[in-house]
Amino acid sequence: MITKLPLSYWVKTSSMKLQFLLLVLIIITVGARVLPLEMQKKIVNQAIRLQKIDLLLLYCSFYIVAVITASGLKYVITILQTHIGQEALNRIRKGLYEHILTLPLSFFHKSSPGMVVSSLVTEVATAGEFVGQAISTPVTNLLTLLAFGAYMFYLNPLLAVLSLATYPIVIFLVPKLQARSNKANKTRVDITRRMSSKVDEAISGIHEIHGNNSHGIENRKYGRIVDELFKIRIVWILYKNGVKVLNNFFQNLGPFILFLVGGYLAIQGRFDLGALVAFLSAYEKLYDPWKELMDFYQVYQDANVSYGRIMEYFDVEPEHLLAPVGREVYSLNGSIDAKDVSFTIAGGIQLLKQINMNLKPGEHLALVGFSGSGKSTLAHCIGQLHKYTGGSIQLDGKEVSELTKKDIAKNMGIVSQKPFIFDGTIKENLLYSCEALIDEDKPEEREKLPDLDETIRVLQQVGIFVDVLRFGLNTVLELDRDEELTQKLIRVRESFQKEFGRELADYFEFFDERKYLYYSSVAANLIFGSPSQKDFSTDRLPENPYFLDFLDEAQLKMPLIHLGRDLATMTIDVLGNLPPDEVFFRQSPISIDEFEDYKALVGRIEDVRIHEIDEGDRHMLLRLALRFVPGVHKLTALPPVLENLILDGRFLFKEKIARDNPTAITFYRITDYIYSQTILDNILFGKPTTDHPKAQERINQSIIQLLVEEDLLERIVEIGMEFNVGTKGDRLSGGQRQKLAIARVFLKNPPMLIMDEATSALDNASQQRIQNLLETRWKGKSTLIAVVHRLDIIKGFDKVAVMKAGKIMEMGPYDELISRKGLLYELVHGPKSGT
Amino acid sequence: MNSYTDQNQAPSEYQGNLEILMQIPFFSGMPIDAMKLIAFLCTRETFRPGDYLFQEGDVDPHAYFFIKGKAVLTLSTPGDEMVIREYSENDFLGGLSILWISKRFFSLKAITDTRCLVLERDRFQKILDQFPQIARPILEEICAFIHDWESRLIGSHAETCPPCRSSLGLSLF
Repeated sequence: MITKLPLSYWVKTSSMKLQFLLLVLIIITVGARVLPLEMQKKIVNQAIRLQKIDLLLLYCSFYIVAVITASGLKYVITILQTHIGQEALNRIRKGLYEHILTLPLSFFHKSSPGMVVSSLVTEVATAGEFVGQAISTPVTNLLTLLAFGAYMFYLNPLLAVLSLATYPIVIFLVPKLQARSNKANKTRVDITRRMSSKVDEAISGIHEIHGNNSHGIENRKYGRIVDELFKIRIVWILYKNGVKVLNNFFQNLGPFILFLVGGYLAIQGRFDLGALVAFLSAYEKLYDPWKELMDFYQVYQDANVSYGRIMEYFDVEPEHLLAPVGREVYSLNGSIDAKDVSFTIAGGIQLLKQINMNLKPGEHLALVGFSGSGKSTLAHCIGQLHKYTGGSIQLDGKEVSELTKKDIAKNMGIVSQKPFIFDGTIKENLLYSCEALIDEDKPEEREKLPDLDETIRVLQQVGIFVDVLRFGLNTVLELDRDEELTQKLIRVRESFQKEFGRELADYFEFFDERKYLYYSSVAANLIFGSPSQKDFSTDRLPENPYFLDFLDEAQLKMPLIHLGRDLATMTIDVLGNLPPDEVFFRQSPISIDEFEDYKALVGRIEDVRIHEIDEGDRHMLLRLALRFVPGVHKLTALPPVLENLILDGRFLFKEKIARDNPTAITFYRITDYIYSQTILDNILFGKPTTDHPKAQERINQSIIQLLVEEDLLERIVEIGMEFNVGTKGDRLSGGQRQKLAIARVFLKNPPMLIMDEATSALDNASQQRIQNLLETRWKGKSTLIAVVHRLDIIKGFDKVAVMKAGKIMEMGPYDELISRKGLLYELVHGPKSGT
Repeated sequence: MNSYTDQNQAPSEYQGNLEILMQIPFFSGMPIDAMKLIAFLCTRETFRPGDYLFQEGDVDPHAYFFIKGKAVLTLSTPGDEMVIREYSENDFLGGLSILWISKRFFSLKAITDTRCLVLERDRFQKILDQFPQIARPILEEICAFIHDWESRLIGSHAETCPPCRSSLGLSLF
């Protein structure tokens, strides 16, 4: 198990080739580091003293070559170190994640996601850093130290002994300080984790915090942890830097001794000047390897602490094997037998007691009872999500605790109360369970994945088909993705106008080049197309000089400024003194953010002739007029004269832009697919004139009918299945998520189903639909254990088990239990009166 | 020079709404600012013959004023559908629905092409928040309605229909 491996394991298992290469490079580097010292001596003693330029140049070139080699090699060494370190980190991260995912659910009840995340993301990083340096850094620096030390002895043994005398003191003192630093560091790691879980908790429960206005409570809780962290970090950094300061101090004592003794010897003539210079250099150069060694020592200590902490935390045995060894995965028939099952959790709390039950293949059992009675726990024990602590549960004669995860996954489908939907497409989520069963090494098994027809059938069964269709219709197709599809869609568009045009005339305004669009803005009416260049998007048009010139040419500017003035005046008149509420602004051409600006503008231009309004204000009015949608902004009517001017302008603009910038806009043509708009908009080819739900419903029905006629329905659903559901599926509603989770399990088609209040987020009709489906399609085929909260749907089950305080109190067919007038009767009809 | 003066301007839908609202007793007596806001937040909806404006059991949060068209109000009884009355041009209904949430007892079905001015509860509530003083004339209007209604009921039913008597007394609320 990965958590038992010591930190050194990762060093040993790192690439030996790279480590060996490192060693070779290190030896060369050390040589290249010592050589300049000798050169220094030679330059002073020989070249300068003897005044030989050629020798000076020669020694200097040796010197520079050595320096360049040392620096270059240092860089290569760093690269290799980083590679080795990151590679080890990579292995630790993968291995640890793999291990964490196998841990039992009980582990995750006591640890928070925040903690796991910070372990995997930040805390292991120091371990990686250490592994990279583990061999090269100590070797390089020890060798360098030895080489410099030996060189110093070679120059003058006495001086060498004197100047190195401080080092043993450092070596003695540093570990003592480091031990304290480590202690503080351990505490820091723990507090940081607590902080992560606190933040994680607060964010997950943000709705409760807002709902209770408990910001203060949460801030205090968090504040306490941060304060602790503050204190411990200061202590930690003090010790950490204490080590450095100590080191620095002793390091600087060296030259003092050198000058004192070396100077005395030189004056006495027992030590030549060149040797003294070389000695000083050597001593100064000792500092770098020594410092690196010290740093390495700290990295090692930090890595050891955080690595140990992580591994200790996750040192839990998985309860079950992932896949069977030496046999095929079982195919079970669906019979379930439980004998004297009990489940006790830490603290001796018994959640299940003496559970006895058996189900024949295909039988359906409803588990009912008060909350806390153990229904879900029992279902979880059968589904291997909890490990029961006593008795036996057998599936097809095989003990559940002996089965591997793969046996369970293949034979059982579990829909939990709060199903989890992963980031990805609907399709990925639908096939999630089936995909997991496929052996990565056997690509041919992929053929067994459910095909489109089967997927669509299940989508229909669980009642999410229309939703997926809508996602499909709201998709923007990529350019030229599918010529045939767009052709068909254009046919659908044509039939939509032909067959429903008249009927929907009240709810819908089709794009027609010759008609003014009352439900589109003035700008959209002018360009009459979908902008392909950003500068021509309707919100940018008022700033687009080309477009502004065009307005002048078409003599539209003045009339539009007039319109803008009317709009601004009327809107301010009605909304002027109201608070900025979204409801009031829904039909206003002025948005909430701009309201104050326009209010001031209206104040400025009251009783001012239009020609006297300054340029900036005119532009604001023009901007307002360009976004005027007569069908929505009903404060002002569009003057018929202006309407005609705009229609003329539309043709002028089309000609002008076709000349100057033909790719700027895709014009609306009934025969062209508009790639910048959704499939639905392409079919509609117009705008709805009301958001009345009845009108929406009618439009939807018409479209589905046409898609069926063109044989496109499945194709659009297929596109809809590519819809990305967002993190945790948050672009779906609660009901959609639950339906998707049910569909996911149905697609797997397992012989055993466990549904833990699987329909709790669905409306009555959807819940009934799923219930009917279970009774007609699954009864007799798959064994079902359903934890049920609502008692009106349990009549169709073969057996009902009533649970109370961890025991099955009664079990049998619904009618039998009701006629017995026991607990079920009480649950259904309320407590017996008078008793 | 230019032709965009107020004289030439066709009245906007908002102005039309304002004129209509002034005729409806439910809204009459409100300050003009509130009336303007209501006119601004109303919508116009179209119904085809056979379309339901609302159905029994719907929680329909709208008040309706008939600009044109006809609709019939029905009540379903076991096995049958009773026609209560017809609504047509200039009729207003649904005032209570924009004041509080309740289910419809009746269904209203358009029988000709119908266009209505519609006010939705949430919007009206926002207006009420801004102009709390408009509640008073509305309250008075409701009282007057109850009073007139009971007075008609007493006049037409009290003597001829003994069982109806027990349900009299609404105006004593």
